[in-house]
Amino acid sequence: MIFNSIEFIIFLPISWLIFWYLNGKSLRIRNLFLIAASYLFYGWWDWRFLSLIIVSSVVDYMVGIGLERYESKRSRKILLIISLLVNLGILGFFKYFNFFADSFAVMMQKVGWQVDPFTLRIILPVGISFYTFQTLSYSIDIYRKKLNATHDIFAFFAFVSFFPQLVAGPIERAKSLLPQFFERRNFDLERSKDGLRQILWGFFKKVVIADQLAFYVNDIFLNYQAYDGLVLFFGVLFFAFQIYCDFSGYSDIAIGTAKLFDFDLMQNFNYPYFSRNIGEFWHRWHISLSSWFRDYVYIPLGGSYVPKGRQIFNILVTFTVSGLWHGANWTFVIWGFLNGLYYIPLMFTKKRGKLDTETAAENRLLPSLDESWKLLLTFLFTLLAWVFFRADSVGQAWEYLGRIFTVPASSFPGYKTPLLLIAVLVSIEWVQRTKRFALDIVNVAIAYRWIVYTAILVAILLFGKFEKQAFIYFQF
Amino acid sequence: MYRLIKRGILFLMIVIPAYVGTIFIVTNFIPAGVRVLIGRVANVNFGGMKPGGTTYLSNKGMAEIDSLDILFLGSSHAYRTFDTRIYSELGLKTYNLGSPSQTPVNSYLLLKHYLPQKHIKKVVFEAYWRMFSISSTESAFDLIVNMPPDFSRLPVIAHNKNLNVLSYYLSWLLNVNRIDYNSIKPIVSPMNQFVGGGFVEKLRSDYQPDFPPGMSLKMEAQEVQFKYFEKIIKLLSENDIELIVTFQPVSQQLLDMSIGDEKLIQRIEENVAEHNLPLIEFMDVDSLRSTEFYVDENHLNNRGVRAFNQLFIQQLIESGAIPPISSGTGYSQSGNTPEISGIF
Repeated sequence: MIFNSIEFIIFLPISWLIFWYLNGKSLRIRNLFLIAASYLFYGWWDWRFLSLIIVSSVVDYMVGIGLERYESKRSRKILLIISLLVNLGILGFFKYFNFFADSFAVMMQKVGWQVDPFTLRIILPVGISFYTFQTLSYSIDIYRKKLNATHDIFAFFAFVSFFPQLVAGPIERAKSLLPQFFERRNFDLERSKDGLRQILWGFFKKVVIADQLAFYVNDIFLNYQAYDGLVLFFGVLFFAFQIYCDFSGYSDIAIGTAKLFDFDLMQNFNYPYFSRNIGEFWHRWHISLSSWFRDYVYIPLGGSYVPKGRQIFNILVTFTVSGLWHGANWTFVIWGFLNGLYYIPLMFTKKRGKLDTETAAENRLLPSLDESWKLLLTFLFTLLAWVFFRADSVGQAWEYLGRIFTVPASSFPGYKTPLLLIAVLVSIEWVQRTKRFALDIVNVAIAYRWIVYTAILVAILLFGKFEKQAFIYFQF
Repeated sequence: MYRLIKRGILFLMIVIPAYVGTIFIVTNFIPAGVRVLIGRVANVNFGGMKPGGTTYLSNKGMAEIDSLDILFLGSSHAYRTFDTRIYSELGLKTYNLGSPSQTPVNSYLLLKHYLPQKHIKKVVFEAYWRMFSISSTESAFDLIVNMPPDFSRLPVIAHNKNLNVLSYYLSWLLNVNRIDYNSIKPIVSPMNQFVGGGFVEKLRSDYQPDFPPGMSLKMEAQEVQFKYFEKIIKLLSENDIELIVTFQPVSQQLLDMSIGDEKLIQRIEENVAEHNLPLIEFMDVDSLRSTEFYVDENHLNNRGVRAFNQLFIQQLIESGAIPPISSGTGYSQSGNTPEISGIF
């Protein structure tokens, strides 16, 4: 089931009513219901792959209990390795098998050996990268003794499969989400209203902006050889906003939906295109994944408490692996590596990229000249990297970039619609950039609030594209 | 909780009139230029689609028919290709209900609408594979404007399950200056003529492919279209109506422009084989590959139409779908040169 579908519009109120009815009865039955609802939500796409979620849940539940029971280092290590092997094994098989088989064959051919790649017809299960990382972090945290194992199997299964964030995050940590399943949730009108506001804004970004931009992006990237440099620049500009609205829209709907059930999910996007350097960008973009890689890859590698050369290595490894997480293609690997390269200069500055103010142009309407330059430069660097993210192959990405700089424009392309959409989005988000999400207008008079809600919903009904466009991040 | 539900209902009571009211205002009071811009963002042409009128005329013609030997269905590849005059010369009663970008969803709706009213022996379904990879919006808009003035528009909205279709329907309904379709004349334009029987003719114009080729499209299956294709098969089978599926001839350029077409074609072929249905393929017929038979990369010109229909009729006879034609009719079975005499 996807959020922008009739099925979800029906599913959400029904599950919400049943949840609040059961919440007052028994915690165990309520959690059991959440598991059933989440499995229905996931199984709507393909019920066969529920087995992977169940395997991952069972293994980490058992590993968690084992890690708590055994004190010896060796036993604990074996248990952790089991969790790593199962979760990364599932991920590796379903997501990376063909990629590594193909890459191996190409490498062998380069050294003169003819190898036929052995590939399999494998369907990539939706959300596999998200829930395997979530369960993995649970076992690692218990291994590090930062978390106690749970013995409540229903609570744990509900934590792994919680439908708002199951297929595209935010990737939650057990420490913050799991305890919420142990307690009775309390209905709070203000909190529910806040959730509905966030859902509304998420839908607006997804169906009005991202899906409209998708039309232009698909055409430009598919026919890039027929277009001049200016059109190709617009192609990547539109993609930057498409992927932002698509993914942050999903996160807003997920967080808002969780609020309706009185669950807290972490903020996943914080106006990333208003970043003044690449470090700030990664603190604002897909925050749950960035912090996951920081805690489970960068810090174990030594983090910043090692000599400069090793630090650079750690940064490059972390970003490259995070690129690979996004997809089994060298384009994603290069995208990650490129972001790692962008980060390196910050390591040689005095403050290591830390900024004096929380947000750009704090307490002012417009940024200073210096800030504007930094905002623009950071955005342009991210645009450059997005070319690799969106291209079908590395060759296509290079050719695309080459054409941007070498094929002069004959006229200004007539992209009024997408430019208008981007202008509307940027203006609203800039004004609201200190808020958790752009429709956080709780302090505005009720009459104005309702006018805004009505206008946004009418805009969704009129300007939204309703052709069952899946969210881009489902494929990761 | 009850307060939230009450507020939610109140909110919907405000939003629904606001939505309908906005459509009414945009449709009737906004200057045309601004309306076009709004319509482009909304995927809805407020104020009503510019009428081609061919689907309207086709529906109007269909109303006068009681029984048919063959009903043709499909996209523009159907209504610009099956020249019903040729079949009429052979003593076959046929009608062409093809319409622009007609997807299986909308072919199914047309069948549902007409089957109870007409006695139909065979249906030839033109399966242009790209119609299995697009949304039905454009085709649904066309049907909303052109369906007979009864409740037949409502299933178009219900089955397409798309808010853009609903918005378009409301815009059409609330347009105070709605076009009077009764005024549409059979000749739509000199190069685009509705010649009766549902067939729309494009006069001969030798086609020159662009070089470099036009823009590519990435074709991916829309599951809903395959689902409705299955529904068409089931519906016809339940009514004991023979179904023949066909792939029309298309230009080499069209094939070169598509990515992923093979998978779609293969899937349609598999579906057809699964139901043991006859499939007549013209995609790879070399004698119809020449650009002299086309007006553009998608459509045959009148010369191509003649050539195609001769071959198609031969195939129908060979497969036993229609009986052999006796001499004296305008259709020649011999020789490789596609030619139909006595008609043009």
